[in-house]
Amino acid sequence: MSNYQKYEEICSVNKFKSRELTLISSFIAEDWRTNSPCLVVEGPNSSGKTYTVRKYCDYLKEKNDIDYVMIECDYCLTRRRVLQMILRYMYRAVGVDESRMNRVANRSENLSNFVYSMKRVISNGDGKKRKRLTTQPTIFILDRLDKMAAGEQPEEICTALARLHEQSILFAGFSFIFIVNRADHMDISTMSLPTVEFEHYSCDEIKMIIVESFVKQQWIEKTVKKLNSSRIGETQLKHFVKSYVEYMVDTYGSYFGRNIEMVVPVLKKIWPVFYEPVKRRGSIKPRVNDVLTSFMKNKKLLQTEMGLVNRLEETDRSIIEEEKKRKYEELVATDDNSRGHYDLSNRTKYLIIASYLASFTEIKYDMANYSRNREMRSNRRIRFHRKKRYEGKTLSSRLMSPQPFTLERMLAILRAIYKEFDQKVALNNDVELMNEMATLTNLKTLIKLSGNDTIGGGTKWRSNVQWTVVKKFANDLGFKIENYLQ
Amino acid sequence: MTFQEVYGTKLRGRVLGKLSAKTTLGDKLIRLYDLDKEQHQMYKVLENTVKYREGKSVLLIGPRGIGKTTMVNNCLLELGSKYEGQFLVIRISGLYERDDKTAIREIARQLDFIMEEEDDGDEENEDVQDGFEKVSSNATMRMIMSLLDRTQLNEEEDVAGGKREADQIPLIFVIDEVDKYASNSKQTLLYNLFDIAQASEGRKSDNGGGGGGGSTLTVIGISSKATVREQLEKRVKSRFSQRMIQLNKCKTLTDYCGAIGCMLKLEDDDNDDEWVSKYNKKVDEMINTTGSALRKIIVENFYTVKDLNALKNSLVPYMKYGFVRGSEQLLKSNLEVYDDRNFELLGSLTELELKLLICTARVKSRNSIDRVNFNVAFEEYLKMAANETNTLNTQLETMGVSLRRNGEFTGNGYSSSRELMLGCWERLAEIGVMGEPMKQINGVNAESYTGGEFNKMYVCDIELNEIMKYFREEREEAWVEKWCRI
Repeated sequence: MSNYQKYEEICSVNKFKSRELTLISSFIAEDWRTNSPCLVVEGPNSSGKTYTVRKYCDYLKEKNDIDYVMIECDYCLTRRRVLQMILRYMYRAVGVDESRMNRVANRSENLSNFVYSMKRVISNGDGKKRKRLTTQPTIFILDRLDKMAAGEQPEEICTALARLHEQSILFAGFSFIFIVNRADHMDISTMSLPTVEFEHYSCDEIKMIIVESFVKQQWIEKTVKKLNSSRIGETQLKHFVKSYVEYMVDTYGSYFGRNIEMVVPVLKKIWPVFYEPVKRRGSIKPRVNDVLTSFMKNKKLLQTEMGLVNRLEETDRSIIEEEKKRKYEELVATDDNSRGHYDLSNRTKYLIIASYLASFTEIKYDMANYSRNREMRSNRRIRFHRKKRYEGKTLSSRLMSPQPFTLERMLAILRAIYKEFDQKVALNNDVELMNEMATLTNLKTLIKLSGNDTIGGGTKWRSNVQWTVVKKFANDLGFKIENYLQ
Repeated sequence: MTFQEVYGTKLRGRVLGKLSAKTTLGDKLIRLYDLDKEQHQMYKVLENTVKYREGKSVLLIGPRGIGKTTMVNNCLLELGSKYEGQFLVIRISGLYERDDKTAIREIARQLDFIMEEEDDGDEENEDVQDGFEKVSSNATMRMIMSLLDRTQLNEEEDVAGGKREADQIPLIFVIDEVDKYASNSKQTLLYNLFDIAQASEGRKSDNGGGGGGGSTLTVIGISSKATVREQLEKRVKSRFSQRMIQLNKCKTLTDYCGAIGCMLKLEDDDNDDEWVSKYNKKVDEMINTTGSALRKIIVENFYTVKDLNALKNSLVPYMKYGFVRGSEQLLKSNLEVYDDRNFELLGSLTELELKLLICTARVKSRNSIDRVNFNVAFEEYLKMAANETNTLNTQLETMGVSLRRNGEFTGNGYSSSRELMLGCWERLAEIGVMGEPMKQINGVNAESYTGGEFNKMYVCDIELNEIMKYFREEREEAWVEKWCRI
C-alpha cells in the first residue's frame, strides 16, 4: 500500500479530525524505533480527543497488531493506581502469573519502585512474549491525566514517563499518550514534548455526529416497531430525528456551545414533546405534527430552561408532567402561593436573619445598630456614611462571602432584633434555641467553621443563605432588614 | 527506483528515528553537533577512572534538549567498547528517585541486579534480604556505604559477603536531574558519593595509581539548572572536585542551522550511498535557502525559544508525510505550544459562559479588585442582559412592535436563570479560565468549605480588552464588543 493510501486510511478514522490524526500518526505509528516515547494530546472538553486516539489505536491494532492500553486516570484517582494499571498490563503481556510476583507488584507506590517492578516483571517473562514486547510498540493512553485527585501532581508522572525509555532498553517500545484539557497547567513546556492540540467541533459537525453516531440503527428500528404504524418508515423517522436535532442544537446553542456531552441529555429530555404527537397520530404530517409545528406549539415551554436545568427534586419528572405543572401553577398563582410556604417558625426565621446580619455587618456598627439606646448614642456620621455606602455604586457587601462571627454576637443580635419586633413570645435562652441552631447547622444554613467544639466561645460561625432568601424571610416577618445593612 | 520510493521505504524510518526523542536510549552513538570538545573532556574523565582508578565528580550543566544525556551515553558506549566489563554504571534519575532514600534503594537494586547477572542462574532469588537492598533504608545506606568506602573496619567486608569482585571494579554513577538531590537540607547522597570519589582520588596519589584499597567512584551529575553548584552545601561543595562542563545553546544562526543539519542528515554507512547523499543535499538546500518554509521555521525558532527539541517535533510530521511531496503546510510553527491557553479556550466557550466571563472581567476592572465570586458576576450579568433587552425593545418599539407582555416587563426579560448560570460558572472554573486564588478562604480550607459555589472567590486572569481583541481578530461577533465596553 502506498504511503498516500495509508494516510487516507488514517484520516478516515475520524473524518473531522484529519489534521490532528496526521500529527498523531507522525509521532505514534507501527515502528517502535521512530515512535515518540510520549505525546500530549490537549483540547477542550468534548473535542473528540479520547475518541480519536482510541479509534486510531484500534486502527493500529487491526492493521499492525499493536497493543494498546487505555487507562482512565480520573477513575484511578491516584498516581499509584495508574502505575499499578500499567504494571498489571505488563503481567498479562509477558505472561507472568500475578500471584507469583505479588510482592513486587504491590510496589508501585512511587516511580522508583514502579520502574524496578517493571524491569523485574519483564525480565521474568516468557521469552517469546518478552521479545514481542521489546520489538513492538506498546501504547499506553493515560486519559484525563489532569483530572486525578487533587495533590497527585500529574506533571511528575508525565515528565517521568516521558523519559521512561532512558531507564532501561526494555522500555524502548513503550509510548505514552497523555490526554489532558490543558497542558499549560502541567509545567512541561521546557520538556518540549510533542503536543497535538484539538479544536472543538463546529455546530454543523455536532449535528452530523449526533445524527450519525448517537442515534443508533437499532433504536430507529425499535421505535418504528413500537409506533406500529404503516405510515411511518425508517427513512421518515430518521429524517424527523435529524430535523429535531437541528432545531434543538440551534435553539439551545448559546448554552451548549460545542459540547456534545451536554446536548445529548437535553435531547433525550425534550424528545417526548415531539414524539408524543407523532405517536398519537401514527403518522408524520407536515403542518400537523412535524418538528417545526411541534416546535411552534411548544414555544413557551422551550423558551423556559426546563430542558436544561436539572433540579434535584425534579429529576424523575418527565418534561410533559413538568409542562402540566407549569400550566397548573399559572392558573392558581395567587397571593397565597406567592408568599411562600416554607415550614419554619418565626423564631427560626429570626435566627436566620440574625446570623445573616452577623455575617454581613461589621462589628464596629453593632452599637449603633442594635443598642437599646440607639437613638441617643447614634453617631450621625456613621449613619450618614452607612446610608451612602449602601446606595452607592460600589460593590454591595451582601454579594461577597459572609464573614465569620462568634456565637455570642449572633445571640446578642438575635435578642436585639427579636425584642424590637416580636414581643409576644419571649425568647428563652433554652435548649430549644440551641437545638434549632444545630438543625440549621446540619442543613448548612449556618456553617460552623472548625473543630468539634459545638458551642464554645472560640468557634466561629457563618451564615450560608442568599440575600433573596433572607429578604423573603424578612418580608414574612415584616422586618426591615435593609435598615441594618451597611 | 525513484528518490520518492527510496525515501518512503528506506530513508524515512532512519530520519524519523533520528528525530524521535528515543535518541536518549543509549543503545547507539548519536552524533552531536559541535560538542566534540566537551565530549572528549568527559570521556577523558571516565577513561581515567577506568584506566588509572581516579575518582572524580563532574557536573554537566546545560539547557534541556542540548544533548547532555546523549553525550554521557556516547562516552559510556565508547568506553564500553574499549574497556568492556571493566567498569560498572549505575544510573539514577531525579525524576524517578525523588529523594535520597529511594535513590539509595535504587543503587542497591542495581548492584543486586549486577550481582545476580554475574551469579547466573538462581533467578528465583527474590529475597531482597540477601542482596544489598534492606528493608530499612538506613540499613541499605549503611550497606552501600560500607561497600563503597572500604577504608572502614574490616568486619563490614564480611557483611558484603562474596561480592568483593564488584568493589574492585570502578563505578560510574550517572545522576540525572542532580538538582533534586541538592534541594534538601542534608544532601546526604551527594555528600557521601562525592566523599568517596574524593577519597579514591586521594588514594590514587598516595599509592601511585595502584588502585588502593577502596573502590573507585566517578560521579557525573547532569542538570539543567545552572545554579546547581551554588545549591550545594559547603561541606558537600568542598568534596566536589569542581569539574564543571557547561553546554550552551548555539550562539549564531549558522551554528544552529549546522546543528539542525546534523540532526536531519544521514550518515552514509550502508549501500544506499547515492540516495543518502542525494537526500543530504536536499536537506542542505532546504536549510540554507533563504525563504524556504523550513528555513523560516528555523529562524523563528532561533530568535524565540531556540529549542531543538521543539523544532524536532515540528519537523516530524513534515518528514513523515510531506518531505517528498513537498507539502509545506505540514511545516507548522511550534510556538503555539507557548500560547496562552485561556485565549484558545475563549473560542470554545458557549455564549452564556462567555457572557459570564465578560461580566467577571467587567466587575474586576470597574471595582479594581482581583477576586470575584459568582454573586457579583451574576448581578453584573443581570444588569447587562437587562440593558440589552431594553435597547432591543426601544429599537423594536420604533418599528411598532413591542416585547413587553401586557406591560409586565420586568427588565430582566431574556436573561438566564441563576441555576443555569451557576452551571456555566462551574464549567468556567473547571476548564481553568478562572483559578482558585489560594487554598484558604478566611481561614477556612477551601476543600472542606461547603458553603456553595456562589460564594467562592476566583481569580480571573483575562482582561476585557484582551477578550475584545481576541474576538476582533478571530471571529466576527458583534455583541462581544458591546458587552466589553464599560
